[in-house]
Amino acid sequence: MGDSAAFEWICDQLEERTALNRLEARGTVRLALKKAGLEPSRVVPAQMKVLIEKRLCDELAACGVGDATRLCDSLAAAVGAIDAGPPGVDSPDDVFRRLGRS
Amino acid sequence: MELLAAVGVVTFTVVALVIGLRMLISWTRTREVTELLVGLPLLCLGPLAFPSGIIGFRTLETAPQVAIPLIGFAALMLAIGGCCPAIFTYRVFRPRSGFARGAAIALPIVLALDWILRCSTGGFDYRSIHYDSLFYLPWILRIAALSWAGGESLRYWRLMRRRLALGLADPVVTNRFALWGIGIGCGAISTLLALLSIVLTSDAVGLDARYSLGISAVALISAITLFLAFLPPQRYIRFLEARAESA
Repeated sequence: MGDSAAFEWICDQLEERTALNRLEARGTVRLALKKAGLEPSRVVPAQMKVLIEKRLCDELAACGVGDATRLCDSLAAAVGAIDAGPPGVDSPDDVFRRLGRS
Repeated sequence: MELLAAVGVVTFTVVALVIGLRMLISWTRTREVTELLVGLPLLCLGPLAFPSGIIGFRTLETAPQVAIPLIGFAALMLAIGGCCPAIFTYRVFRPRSGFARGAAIALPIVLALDWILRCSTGGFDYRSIHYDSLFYLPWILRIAALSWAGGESLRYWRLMRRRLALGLADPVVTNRFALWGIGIGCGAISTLLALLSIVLTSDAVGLDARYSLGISAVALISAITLFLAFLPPQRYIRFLEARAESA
């Protein structure tokens, strides 16, 4: 299953801007996503922004990343610019929201 | 006892009829296949399978020429009612899974072949039925399909609850995952209860009264959860929103 553009973007950013290697960066983001009930394959930029603001900072600090707060502020400001690509199939949330209006 | 057992079944039939029709009407407007995959099984399991099955089994001795086609019709409705939630689950929760796609394709094929085989071999004449492994196959497949549908929805509800804590989910939509999971999961439990009654008594015509009562209770729970999922009263919506705000 392919991971979303938002997931790939944040992992690339962490790998580039911290001392975390690729495996550590992806693992840290996956852990934060799991705690937030989000999935790497479906997470969208708007959800990633909230994740960065509310969860990722703590995860990065726990990994020993210095000045995690400033890094997260910068990432949260930039994440909105990600091109999420063309909309794929409806997410389960979209379907269940629509079913409630039927 | 019979009257008590009828309460749950009748309630489920009415709720399934109303929601099923609403979903089908919505599908004619939106052409979204998910609406069809929710509406069709509710109509098949509730207002179509229950009455035809009950009348079929009650009249099997006195008017078999009417009863046997009715039982066959009920079996077809139960098969459709088992297939649609499985296809829905594949499309909504596991669209990229090869295993889920395989299950969603194989299940209707196997159940259709089983139904055709029974039609051609008198398999709906329950007076002379053989309780062999072929008899139990559609029962087990339906239980598996409905359990899968319920389980996937409840799994996603757990994810949604975590999102809710971050303000990333709507409390009413989150709750709908739980309600659909319980409602459709009840279908698996009631099928299992019917199967247990048949296995323990070797009699599919007249279900044991205790199991009938159990099926009725489960049908009542299913009716309540499906009603709250798709026709929630404003008061219930306000309750969910207030609870989410206070959390």
